[in-house]
Amino acid sequence: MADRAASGWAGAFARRAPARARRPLGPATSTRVVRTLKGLAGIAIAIAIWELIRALGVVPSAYVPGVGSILSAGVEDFGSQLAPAIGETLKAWAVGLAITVPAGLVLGVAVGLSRWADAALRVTVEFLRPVPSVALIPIAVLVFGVSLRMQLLLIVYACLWPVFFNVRFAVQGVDPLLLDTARVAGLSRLATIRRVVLPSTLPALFTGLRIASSIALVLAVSAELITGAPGLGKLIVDAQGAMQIPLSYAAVFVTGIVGFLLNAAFTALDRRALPWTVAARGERA
Amino acid sequence: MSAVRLRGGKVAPALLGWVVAALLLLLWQLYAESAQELYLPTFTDSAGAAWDLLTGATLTSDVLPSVGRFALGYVVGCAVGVAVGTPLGYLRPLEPWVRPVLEFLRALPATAILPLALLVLGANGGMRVAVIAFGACWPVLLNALDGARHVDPVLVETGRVSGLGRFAILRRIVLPASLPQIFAGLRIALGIALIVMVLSEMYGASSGLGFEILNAQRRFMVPETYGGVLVLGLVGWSVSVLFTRVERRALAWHIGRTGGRSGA
Repeated sequence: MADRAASGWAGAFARRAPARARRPLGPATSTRVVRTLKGLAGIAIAIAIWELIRALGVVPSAYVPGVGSILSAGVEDFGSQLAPAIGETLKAWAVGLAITVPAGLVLGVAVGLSRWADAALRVTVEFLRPVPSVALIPIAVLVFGVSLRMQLLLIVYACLWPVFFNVRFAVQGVDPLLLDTARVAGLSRLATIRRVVLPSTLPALFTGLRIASSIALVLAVSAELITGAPGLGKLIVDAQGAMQIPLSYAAVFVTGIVGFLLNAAFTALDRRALPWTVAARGERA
Repeated sequence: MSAVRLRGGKVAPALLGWVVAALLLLLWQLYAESAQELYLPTFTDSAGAAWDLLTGATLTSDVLPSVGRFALGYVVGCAVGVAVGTPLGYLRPLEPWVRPVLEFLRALPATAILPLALLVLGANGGMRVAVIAFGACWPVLLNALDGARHVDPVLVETGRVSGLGRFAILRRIVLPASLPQIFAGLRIALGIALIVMVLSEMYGASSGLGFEILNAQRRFMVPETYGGVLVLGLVGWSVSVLFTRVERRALAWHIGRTGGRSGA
């Protein structure tokens, strides 16, 4: 969805990309260093604002600890509390994505290629997709109890959509000339899918994967928060309940950092794996 | 679509979609009736529970307040996102300073701050609205920022030459030109706001759709649990349809220019 709207900006990027490539290495590197420094300064300013709000007494300071105590709580309990919680959350995230991505890819290709499959599933999909995924938490708990499988059900349900829609849209957008060429060349249907359709849908698959990755994290943490399945969400609640407020804040920040790093990793992977498409698609979606 | 696609007629495929959906519901009904699974009520029981939820006292005590909080939080979050993101993108030198903080805030699952928001703001409707707004704000803000950054410089220069002030350029040139990208952000925010709305009512709440679903599950009122999910699906579907209409209208000029590729 975001991609289609973002494609309007493709022109701007396409014009900029070659200029960037031609720029000599020196200034580009120093530009990057300056950018990083400015970003770090921005983080420092954000921390200063946090402390200022505390100092002004706008919020009860017992409930909004200083950055120092959040940091020390995070460092102190990293091995005993935070690291295992990160591991549990990432386990649900990874297994969930590992199930969803192949499923979404197969479904997307099938529906993208077959007009009848598309027509048959259209109404069902239109009604299933708007159900907010977290609304299924109680049902998932009923069926699977508080377990990894419960989390997986939620993650797969929520993440299937971005992968499926991105792939389907890309398959339907494959240049008909390529398909005709494949037919004339005598490729079988399977070979056409493998050598023509799949490569053309890779960029969309990566976009879907990146969106799915962030949704999977939201679902994993949310489910832990409500059901008490082990992970970062449970740690945030437990630490708050035990009045270990700084640890609770530390867990929230770690959750954000995990999300930030996952997003950065997928963006970098996207650029490295498919450099020829990044300029054409715009840098974010 | 191409002429070839249309030749088969449009009615048959549209009908097929409904037939498949009806068959799936029938399958659910028959399986639930025969299997007698404790955790799978029949479709008719679930739909009945959904109907009760929508027509009983719960309409004014749970359903409407939920939708109201969602709408308020969404509108506030989006307004903040556009109001802050557009100038940030227009004032180019500022962008590298704020980017990492903003990317962090967008990557942070908004639901994770619920326990702390409860602590600081208390268990009330205002807190839930605030967290919904928090979740909705970041994708809109970053999309508005990126949209404003990539507005055709010729447009901005034209405004400057015509003697428009900075604010006028921002409002009359930069904002309209970044609307397609802003709407992409608004669409993402819609899904996030809905998720946060439901979850905020499952945590430390005593009313609302999310609360009703979780409460029904904890009391093993299984059809009521499914009924609540159906109602939420209906809410999600309605806001999605409404959004598409608003988007079509707001971006009519853009869709016309790009051959309808970027709308819907």
